[in-house]
Amino acid sequence: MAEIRIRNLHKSFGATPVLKGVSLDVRDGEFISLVGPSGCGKSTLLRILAGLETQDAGEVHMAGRCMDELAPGARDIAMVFQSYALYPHLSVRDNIAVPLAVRRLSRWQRLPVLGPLWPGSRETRRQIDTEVMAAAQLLDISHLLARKPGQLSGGQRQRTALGRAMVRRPQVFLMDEPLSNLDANLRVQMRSEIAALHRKVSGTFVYVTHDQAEAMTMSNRLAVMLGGELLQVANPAEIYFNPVNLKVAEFLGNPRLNRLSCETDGDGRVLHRGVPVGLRLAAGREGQRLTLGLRPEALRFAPWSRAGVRATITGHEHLGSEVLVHAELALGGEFVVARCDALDALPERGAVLSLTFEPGRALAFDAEGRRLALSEPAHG
Amino acid sequence: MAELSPRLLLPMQRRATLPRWPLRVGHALAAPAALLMVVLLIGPLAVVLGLSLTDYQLGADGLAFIGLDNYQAMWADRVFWKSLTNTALYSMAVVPGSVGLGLAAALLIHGLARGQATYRAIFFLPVMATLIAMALVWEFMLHPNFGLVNLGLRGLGLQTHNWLNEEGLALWVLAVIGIWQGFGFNMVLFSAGLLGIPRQLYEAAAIDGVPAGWTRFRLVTWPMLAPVTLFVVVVSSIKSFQVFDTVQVLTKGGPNKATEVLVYTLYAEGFEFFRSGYASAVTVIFLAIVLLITLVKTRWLDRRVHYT
Repeated sequence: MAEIRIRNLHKSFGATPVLKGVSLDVRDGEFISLVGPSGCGKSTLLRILAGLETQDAGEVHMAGRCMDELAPGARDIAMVFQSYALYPHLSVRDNIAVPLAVRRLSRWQRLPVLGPLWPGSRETRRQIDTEVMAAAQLLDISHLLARKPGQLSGGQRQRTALGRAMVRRPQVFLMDEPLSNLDANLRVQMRSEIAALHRKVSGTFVYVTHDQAEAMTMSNRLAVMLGGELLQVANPAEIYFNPVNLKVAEFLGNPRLNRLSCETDGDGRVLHRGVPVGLRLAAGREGQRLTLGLRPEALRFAPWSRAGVRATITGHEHLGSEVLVHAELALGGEFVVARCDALDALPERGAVLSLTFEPGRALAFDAEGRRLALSEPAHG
Repeated sequence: MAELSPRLLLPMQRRATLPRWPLRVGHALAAPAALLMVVLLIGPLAVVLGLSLTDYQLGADGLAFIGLDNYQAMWADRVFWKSLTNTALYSMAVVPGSVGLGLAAALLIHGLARGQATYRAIFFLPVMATLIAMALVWEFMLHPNFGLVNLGLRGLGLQTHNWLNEEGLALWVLAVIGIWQGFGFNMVLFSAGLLGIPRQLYEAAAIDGVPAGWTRFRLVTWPMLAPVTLFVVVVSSIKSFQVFDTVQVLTKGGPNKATEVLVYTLYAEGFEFFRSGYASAVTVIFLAIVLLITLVKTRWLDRRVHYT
């Protein structure tokens, strides 16, 4: 049982606040990703969980125990670093064995020449060796055990680092952007391997990344951070389809969320530069400014009609199965991107059309970026 | 493939003719450096090697080829063997002393929260000071009657010594001065090495449960410092083999050849007794030893301390 309870964490570096009261509950055995742009405080949060940084205020509990006074080695955790942080002079075997050796062998048993002769040492060493082999087999690096990190590829180094993390069977795995030094193909492959590893070792994983694809594909839940605050914690689909904040909505999704600046009229109808877009604000007042967020796949183009939002097609990007259609809106000068199926009929470049969208997929945000509720599509 | 256009073939033809003139240009560009090397390094070395096979005396009109006579004389010379032994003993004291102290000072300074620059400057001062001037200061400090060292010992009721004139003591006193003078330089190199160790390694060690102190030093610091340590040991060895200033100022090789060292021998032979041929032979031996140290470094040790 290793649930993590984080309560009201504050941390500043000098005068710069990095964490502004972060609270988060991670369930036992969960894979949670901390995502956000660089500088949002996600790595600092992870390092506080590891015990490598000390918070200014707030508490961290793991499995019901308060962690705040414990050294990193005394917490039941393992961490994987972006730079792998392997000991360069030790073989893969010895690297993986370090967490076991320092815990199970006494100072004298660890001596280079005399150590193996020390009473009880041989037995323990054999046990450690067996566990190292098991971890190596799980990660498919058992043929590399004699090599030094300098003779390994990036992916093999990352597997070794994973081996060192899991060999002790800790309850919590902390990962600090472990894939960002790998090339794109390997990253996709390691992504599924880490997810598979999570299922096999049944630990609680906290995974820091700025890569939304990693976060979306691997995690049970995402915690989106921005400017030292947690904006939303939910499963990937919920975050994507139902973001609570404009920044969350913009951070996830590629291409980015399309933004239309709008305002309301006396009936609560949403207008884009005076043109009704077919939506009504649930609790709107006249003249309220708001931002309409539309995912690229929710956008469509229809033949130009006087009542619609006029858009001029500016170009296409072919991505194989789909095509990104770029358009410029006539009234606001905003640029939008629509994701279309490559097999459908595509509008010509320069064509003047009406912009439409699935009303159920429209997201409305107020001037501060908070989500606003939309009611059923209005008439006209 | 039959339709290869002339434009495709062109680069290949060019390639065949390329090497000729750039090779000449390359030689021409390297010539000034090569010339300087011949004039300043290889030339003098060849002259020394040649002279060591003659009976040349400084200022003499002629010289005669005498084969390996100088080396034979050296082999039979008690002073040469004494000098070689003394130099080796001096090195064996100064190298571990200055490397160990340099590492210790670097580690202690690295652990300081403030005042790192100040301490580094203090320990580096002896390196920057002129050793001859410093040797004079040491001479005063070690003076048997009014020297600070003996005054202090006398004040504590301990036995005093005539530091530079006791046969069993003089070489070790010089070694202490050598360590004092050299360890600041090593400390600076070790400090740079410590700064180059990635912080993540220490963090990984902390998470792996490695206790701070000796175990962490053995697991992270010492292996990561290995390339610096190798360099420091080699430079310290070569420098300690070159010891001359303190001997010249403080003891002149005495008492009773107790502090006779290689460079002092070749200086005395060459410029006091004017036996240039013999001094050249000593120089050749000296250079051979330095070359040996360097070879050991590059051929054998380098491979063991660089991990990539």
